[in-house]
Amino acid sequence: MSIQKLYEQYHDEIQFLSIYIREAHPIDGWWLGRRLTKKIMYKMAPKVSMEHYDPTTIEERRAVAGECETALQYGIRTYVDEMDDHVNETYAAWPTRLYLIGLDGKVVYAGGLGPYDFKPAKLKTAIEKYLVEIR
Amino acid sequence: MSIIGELYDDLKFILSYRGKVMKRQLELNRTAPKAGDLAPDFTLTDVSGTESVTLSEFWGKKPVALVFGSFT
Repeated sequence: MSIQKLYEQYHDEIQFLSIYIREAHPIDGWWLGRRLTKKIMYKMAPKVSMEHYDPTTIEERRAVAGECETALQYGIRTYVDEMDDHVNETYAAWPTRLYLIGLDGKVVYAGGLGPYDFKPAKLKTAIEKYLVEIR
Repeated sequence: MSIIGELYDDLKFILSYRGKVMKRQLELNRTAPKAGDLAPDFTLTDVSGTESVTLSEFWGKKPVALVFGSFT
């Protein structure tokens, strides 16, 4: 189950927001583009970029976010966290995370910490259950 | 360098970061919103910097799926 498929299936009933946050593996950080790791990463996560430095300004972050939006083509509009990483830290979102927020503004589903607990299938289950409740 | 040497080197590098980032994530996760909590509101702008969105503008209108991530 991919995010893209979830979006295609539910975007009429659910508002999807892609929130771009601090880089997980920039070249000048926890880079996974070294030698053998790069080869493994290309196999496991072919769409992940290993060619970007950590943005130091909001303009740089927006530019990388734009490249990401274009490359992934999920169809989901991307919004960019400010350089203070406030939304990222409030939601403990780094490196990647999923939430479902209900009509009342309350959290319906809080996915586990990514990457291992980034599970679109669980979000799908939460969406389906929630839509039954509110219909 | 041999393949084993490269693998060892890469693993050492990865693990050197993993410990400190996971510690920080677990700390932040303690106060992150859980199911049933009111979702912290926010306003962010898109990749062009011109269009903004506020989470609370959807309350009462549509449930929201938040997908957090980055390109790297």
